[in-house]
Amino acid sequence: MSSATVHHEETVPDLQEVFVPEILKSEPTFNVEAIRADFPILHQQVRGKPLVYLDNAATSQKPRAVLDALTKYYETENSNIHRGVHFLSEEATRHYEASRVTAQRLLNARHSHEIIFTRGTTEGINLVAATYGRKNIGEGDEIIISGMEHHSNIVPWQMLCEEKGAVLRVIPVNDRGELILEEYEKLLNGRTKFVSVMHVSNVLGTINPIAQIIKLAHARGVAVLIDGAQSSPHLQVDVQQLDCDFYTVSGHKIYGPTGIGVLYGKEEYLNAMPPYQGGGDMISSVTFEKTIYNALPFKYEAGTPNIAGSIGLGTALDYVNALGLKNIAAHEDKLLAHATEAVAEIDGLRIIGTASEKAGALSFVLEGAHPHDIGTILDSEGIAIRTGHHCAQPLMKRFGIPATARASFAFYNTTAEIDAFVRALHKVSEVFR
Amino acid sequence: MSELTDLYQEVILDHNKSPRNWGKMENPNKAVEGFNPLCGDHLHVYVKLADDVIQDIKFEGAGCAISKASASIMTTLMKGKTKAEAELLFEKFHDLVPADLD
Repeated sequence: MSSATVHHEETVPDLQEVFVPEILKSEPTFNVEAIRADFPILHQQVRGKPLVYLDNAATSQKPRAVLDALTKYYETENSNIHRGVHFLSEEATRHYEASRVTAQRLLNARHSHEIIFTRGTTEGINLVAATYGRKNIGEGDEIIISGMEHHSNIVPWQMLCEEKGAVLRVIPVNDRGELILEEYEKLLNGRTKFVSVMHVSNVLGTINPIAQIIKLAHARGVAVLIDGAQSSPHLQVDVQQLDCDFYTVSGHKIYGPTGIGVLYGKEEYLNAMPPYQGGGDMISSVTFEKTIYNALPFKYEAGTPNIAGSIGLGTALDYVNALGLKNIAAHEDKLLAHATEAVAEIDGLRIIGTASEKAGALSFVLEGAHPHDIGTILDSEGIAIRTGHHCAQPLMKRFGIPATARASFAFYNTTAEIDAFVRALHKVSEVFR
Repeated sequence: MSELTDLYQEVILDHNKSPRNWGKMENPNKAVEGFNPLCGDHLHVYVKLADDVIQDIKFEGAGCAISKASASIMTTLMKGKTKAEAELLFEKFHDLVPADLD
């Protein structure tokens, strides 16, 4: 990351002594323009207009530091990791494992071997369903998910239920787009064997009360997975404080490369679960009679992993840490509040998801204009948003809509960009008046 | 706005706002459902076919302006046509839109 990104107050020292309160000296100020300079992709024209990228919940853009880390790896270190006796392999292994420690710190996991590198959140959930799920869930058992889940936190459990004769139960969502906790409490019973819920909704932006969800499940001895795809770029997460059993992170949504993610699992569970895939690196010895599996975390990382991706992810997490998730959240909350207020003035516009606790995303429908048309018109203005069911078809059904338009925010977005987005929405209203 | 008005011509906006032959048909003898997961278009088309002539045609569902308007225009063109005429129109339309988009 360029040193321009995080600005400590660097005025003349003696003036600083006089004017800057003690607390501000250690707090970096948030300079969006300097941050934007770190993201090459943002500085381009799209359809003759400056790009306004508001599709961050789908994937985030990458700072130059991440791009440089990927190039540097392939240009100077490319080699296979673990068991290499040569210099390049040692360097690659060191950086790969350093990224694991960076991810451990992001989630405040107790041990770095509780961090498993995956392809992304989807693979993290599939891993848990295929290992913990297959081992512990049987006929007539129940798995609880929620009515706002992404397909990636529905289908793996459905597949498991089909295989085992288990039953999927769903926590209902109220009209504001919040989980109804009283109903969740009623769903928990002696047959409940697992709970898997998203931390932040990719459609509604709702921040779910996961601490409470985990606590209620644990009171009945039920393990919980939290899908952190949308929360990790916006919120500080502490898996120890949450007492979370499994937590998933998507690399590309937190300014890292695609094809890399993180699964956190409690050591006791990871040790007890069977391996996910078999192959190289996940074994400590193989004979035709018996294979002894490797220790954590390698037990769950069969085959040559995404070495470049994990190094890129580590760099992205360093970048996020330097900005500070608290500062990031404060800036994004300001953007979300500004956008929410501005779109409310558009006739016939209805926000989908009005929970009291929200992060990152603003979904809406507009009377007379299909979301796809909204997206097309905004695109002609250089503004990228996402339209459709957002891989949450049951949630669309819950709200009785086929699709929504969704703007989602990152720390490099500006109030001026939100204003351009709102102006373009007024144009949509004109076309479909 | 010029590219926009090219795409969202008056005829599209008109059919989008007031789709012709809109609604469910009781007792159709042909009914099909089309679903495009990419953009969420979801349409039902109902046809009453008698003596090889399209006596009545209706559609309903959700889709973008282009998809809704084109379905609406299609129904106005199809109504009263014989099955052979309708098939000819279908072929002509498929020649018109680039097939290699698939």
